[in-house]
Amino acid sequence: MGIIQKVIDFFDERYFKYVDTPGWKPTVPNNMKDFLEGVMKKPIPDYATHPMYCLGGLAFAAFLLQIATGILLGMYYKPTPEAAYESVKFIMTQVYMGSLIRGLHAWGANIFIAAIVLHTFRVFLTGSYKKPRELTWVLGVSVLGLSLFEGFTGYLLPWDQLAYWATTVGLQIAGTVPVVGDIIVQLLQGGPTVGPNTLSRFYIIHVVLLPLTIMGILAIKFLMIRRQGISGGL
Amino acid sequence: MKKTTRRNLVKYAAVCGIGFTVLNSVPVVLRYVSPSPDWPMPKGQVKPGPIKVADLKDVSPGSFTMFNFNFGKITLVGGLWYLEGKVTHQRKGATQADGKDMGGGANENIGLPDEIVSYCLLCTHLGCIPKNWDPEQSILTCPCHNGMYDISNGASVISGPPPAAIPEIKLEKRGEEIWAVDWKDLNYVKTLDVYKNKGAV
Ligand code: HEM
Ligand code: FES
Repeated sequence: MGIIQKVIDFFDERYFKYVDTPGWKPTVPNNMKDFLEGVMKKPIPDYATHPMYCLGGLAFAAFLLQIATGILLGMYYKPTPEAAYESVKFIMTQVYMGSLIRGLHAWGANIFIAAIVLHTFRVFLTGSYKKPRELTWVLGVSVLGLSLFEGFTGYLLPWDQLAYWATTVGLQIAGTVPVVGDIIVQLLQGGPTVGPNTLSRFYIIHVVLLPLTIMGILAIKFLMIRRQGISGGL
Repeated sequence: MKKTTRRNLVKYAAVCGIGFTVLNSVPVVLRYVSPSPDWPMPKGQVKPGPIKVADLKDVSPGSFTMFNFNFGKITLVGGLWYLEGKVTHQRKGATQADGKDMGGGANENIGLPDEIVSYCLLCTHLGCIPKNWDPEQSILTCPCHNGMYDISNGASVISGPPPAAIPEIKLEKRGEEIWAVDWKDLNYVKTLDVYKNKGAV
């Protein structure tokens, strides 16, 4: 068996030829009604209604909330050293419900991370990472890592003392990684110390690069979960 | 009608709950994104309306200060003088093409002596800011083309290209403060082309 065939079999076994629920049509239907029924009417096993199985959904809801509130913050936030702090202050004191929106984003970030971590524990403890779900696990852990990074980059944006020094310390920690540490710091910092370039880089990473990447990974992840179903109970 | 099962009831309750939450957020978001009158103005701009220009204790005979004001359209620069000697508020050389006298007249400032006057520092010639002040002769000169205004006499033009006097700003004593409250003569300001072109009236 050639290596290519091996790769094809690998994905077939885990996605393309895998069906968990007898009678559920995984093929792309050729009309909208069937499509919606496929999406809405897939039966889930009883054990999967347990709250522990809702953590992934909670994390996703929190992610959607971060996008909604993040877009609203972006309507006033200005990513330059001169204007960043002032614009956050402006959101907090002048904009209608601004402190609520920022509060939702800052607290939502914590809930989001907490939900992903707990969700990861659940997946680990129920052994749901086993074949055929290895790839789903890998994607999930990537999302966890990217989300922590999302929180780290977002934290710099208010550009106050807390933000500045948290980033300085965080980047110094990154700098201790063997071999690539220095390169990482150079790339993220964009200068000899945390400065204007760092703010620009963190901003674009925070609002464009990571959200898009996370969305892409989640899309694939959800497709796989649909196909593979929820893993058996304990 | 479909029979209301427990499942359906829960479903409708959930849909209504979510729908209610989402709909409620719409007006909040709309108001969040729309401009508010409380927002600070960009640098150098002031909000429309009366504005405090000085504390009474800070002006004394001979003083000249400048301030920003906005009577509804754009931010402009005004000058505040405490003049010495004889003062009139009568504009000369302010006759319009049709011969109508736009002379201005009496002191209409509330609670302040005749000698405290205020004029808008937007040259009626081409819109520079005349601010070279000669207290000896009470002459304000525009740096652009040497237009000269006699501040002791209604800011009348005494030489140079400006076609008419710069308009007077109405002052008011509020407590121990001097406030610029409005144009003294809005109709006169409307006859000044530079003011119209700049969107000041
Ligand atoms: C993946 C989920 C996200 C997480 C975990 C996250 C996390 C954070 C954190 C921790 C902060 C600092 C909050 C503070 O101290 O006030 C922040 C700020 C910010 N985030 Fe996010 N964020 C996420 C998604 C987004 C998205 C999708 C956008 C925009 C499209 C966005 C835009 C912003 C902006 C503009 C700020 C600066 C305003 C502020 O500091 O309050 N975020 N984010
Ligand atoms: S603009 Fe003032 S004299 Fe020409």
